[in-house]
Amino acid sequence: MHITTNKEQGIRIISVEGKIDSFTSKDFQDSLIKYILDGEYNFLIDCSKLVYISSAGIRAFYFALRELNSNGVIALCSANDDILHVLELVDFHSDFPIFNTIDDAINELK
Amino acid sequence: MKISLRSLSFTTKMLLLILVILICTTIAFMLLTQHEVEKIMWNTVTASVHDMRKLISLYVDNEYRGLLFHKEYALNRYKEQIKNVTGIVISDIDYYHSLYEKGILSEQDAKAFALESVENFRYGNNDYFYIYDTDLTAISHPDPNIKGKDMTEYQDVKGNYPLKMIKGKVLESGNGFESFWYIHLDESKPVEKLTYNYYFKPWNWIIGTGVYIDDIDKDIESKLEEILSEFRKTFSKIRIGENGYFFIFDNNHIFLVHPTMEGVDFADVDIPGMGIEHYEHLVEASKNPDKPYTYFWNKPGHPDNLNYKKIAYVDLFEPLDWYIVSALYVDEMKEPARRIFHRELLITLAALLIACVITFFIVRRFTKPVKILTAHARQLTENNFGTTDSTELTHLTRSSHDEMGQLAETFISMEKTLQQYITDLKLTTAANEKIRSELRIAHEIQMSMLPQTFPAFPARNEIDIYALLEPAKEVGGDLYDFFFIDNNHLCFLIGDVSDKGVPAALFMARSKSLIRATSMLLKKGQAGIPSPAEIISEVNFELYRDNEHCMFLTLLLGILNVATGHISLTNAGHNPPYLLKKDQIELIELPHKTPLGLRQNVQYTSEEIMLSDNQSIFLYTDGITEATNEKDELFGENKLEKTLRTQPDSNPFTVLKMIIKEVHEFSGKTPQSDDITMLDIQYYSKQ
Repeated sequence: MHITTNKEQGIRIISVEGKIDSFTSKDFQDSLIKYILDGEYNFLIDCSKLVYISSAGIRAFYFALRELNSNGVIALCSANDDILHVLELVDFHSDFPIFNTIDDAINELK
Repeated sequence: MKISLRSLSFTTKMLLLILVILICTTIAFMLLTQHEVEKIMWNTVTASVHDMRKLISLYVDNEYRGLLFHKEYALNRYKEQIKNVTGIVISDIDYYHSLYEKGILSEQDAKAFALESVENFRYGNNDYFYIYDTDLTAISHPDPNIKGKDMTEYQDVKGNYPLKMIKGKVLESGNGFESFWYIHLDESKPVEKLTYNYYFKPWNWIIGTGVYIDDIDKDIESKLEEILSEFRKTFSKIRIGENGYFFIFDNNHIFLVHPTMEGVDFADVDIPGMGIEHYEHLVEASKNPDKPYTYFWNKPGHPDNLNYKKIAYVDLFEPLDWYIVSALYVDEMKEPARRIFHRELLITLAALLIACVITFFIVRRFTKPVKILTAHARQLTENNFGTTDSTELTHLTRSSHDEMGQLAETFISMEKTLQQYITDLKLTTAANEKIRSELRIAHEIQMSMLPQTFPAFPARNEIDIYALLEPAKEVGGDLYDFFFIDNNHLCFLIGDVSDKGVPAALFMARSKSLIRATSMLLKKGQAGIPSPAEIISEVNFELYRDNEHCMFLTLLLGILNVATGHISLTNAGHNPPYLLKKDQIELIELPHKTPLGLRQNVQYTSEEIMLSDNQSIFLYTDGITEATNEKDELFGENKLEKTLRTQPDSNPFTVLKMIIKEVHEFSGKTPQSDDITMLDIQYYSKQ
């Protein structure tokens, strides 16, 4: 897994490349938590280069969401069909907004 | 015992290497030098032989010139003598002729007086004068057989006409010398007689006298013999090399000068190839005097051994027809080179020996630290990396400050690190071993919590249940369960805890207990059968509390009424189940809801479906669909459905076994990363 991040229109955009699984979820979680502790609250996870997410990855998202404590949002965009299928199974969009494209997401979140 | 190069010690290898290099160099050097020295020595010897040959030629030539001079001198003396004597006789005749001219005597008397005077004249060894007239009739001659005869046609033993020759010469130049040859009665060899003749013109008389000059030849011969004996003395002292010598033979194949065979005729040599044949070869060789002629002969001191190789240079001294042979022994010519070679060899061997000894000590000195290190390393291993005696090693670091000293220092520090590492490793290994065994026990406990006895309900012929959980190597969080809530209602469930490891296992155990307990509690409280949604909502509420790590459980829970085949079903974020009919399979679509443990209040709902006779409901976890192969491909829903379709008439046991077999075949050697869990319930209606 490889994480790159930038900030655009008040939104912390985190691009994840590779897999979020048991081995990498902790790193992913830690990078999110770091920004939350820094006071950021608008997050967009760009999943265009994400190939796989395991239950450990889902857990990391919920962990971060709880850390935000309803004072912010963690959204996802550009996820592929396999990932969307997994996320759908666990009713992910009830807690995390999911957008088709990064522009859709930025428009909605800004 | 077989010794291979590899088993030799470093010292020996070094020694061998250096020795081989030294010996090779020496041999190459010696071979080159020997060849060179041999060549030089050979050239030197042959050059000196040539010098000696030249000297001897000069010597022989000189002696010969002396001889010629001697002969010339003797002849001239004779000539002068007879010319002088003839002068006396002529002056006598002149005197008588002058008397006739003065008229004192008649010509007749004057001639008679002159003739008488000549006839009576004797000199030397009773030598006499003769007188011929120009018709070559002997007017005066002591031999009565000749006197008065015409000697024009007289021939000497060599076929000359001496008197014609004398007449020719005196008529031309007045006087002159002429030789002719006689054979003495008691001798076979012709001897030379030298004559002087004078033409006394007034009376046409040819007056002459002759002396036998064979004494000159005898004198020359004795002189020659003197020279030869001088040669013998001189030559016997000359040696070419150690035993090589000069010898001379003449064209009569007689050895004139030879250290052992003087006076011997070649023809009398009774050794095959060494008689006349040898003579002819030598004569032949004289045509190329600078080209050595090779043959085998004996050596002074070894007269019976005829196997010494000799080379000879043959010079012909033409005036005397003498063949001067310089003969040397080949082995002796090579001797100086060999002697030099031997001395060199001895010196080199000594140098080699010294080099070996020095090398041995140097190599041993160089390798001593290595030996210490090796011994120390061995001690270290033998002691299982425990404490060792480092006295020698420490000494080494102090005594040498080169690479060896540094190596020793590094070695000591490495040893300390190694020992520390081993100690740590032992502790860690022990700790790991403890954790691993605890994990194994945890896993076993986890497994034992799941119903694993099949058939699960032997008394129930309405249903056939089979379930299977194949754990991944790591402790996972899959679970399944089934139990009767009351006589007709079978609660069944399958679930998957997020992530892996001990926390997941604990969460799974807790969830499983909660579900059973909640089901039973709700049933008691409501005095009826709770719906799956009620059970799940209750359990979710419990799991959400104190879930700091956001662990969660996806769960599919259903309640089957075995009397009717009716199923109430709730899905909390789990893979949807399949309905297996005889000729088709059907995915049971259910609303997706959040897994348990993530949110406090989730409105779960129950869906209703019906199982007909011989139909079954198939539940699974994503360990099946997310099984990967070597190419990192997923097993996927499609493959799962395809496998399910191939088993229309089977029971839960065979279906599950079939699927697990397919998954294994698909994965090949790729390790299983997640638990694989399946549950299949087949329904038989009572009709």
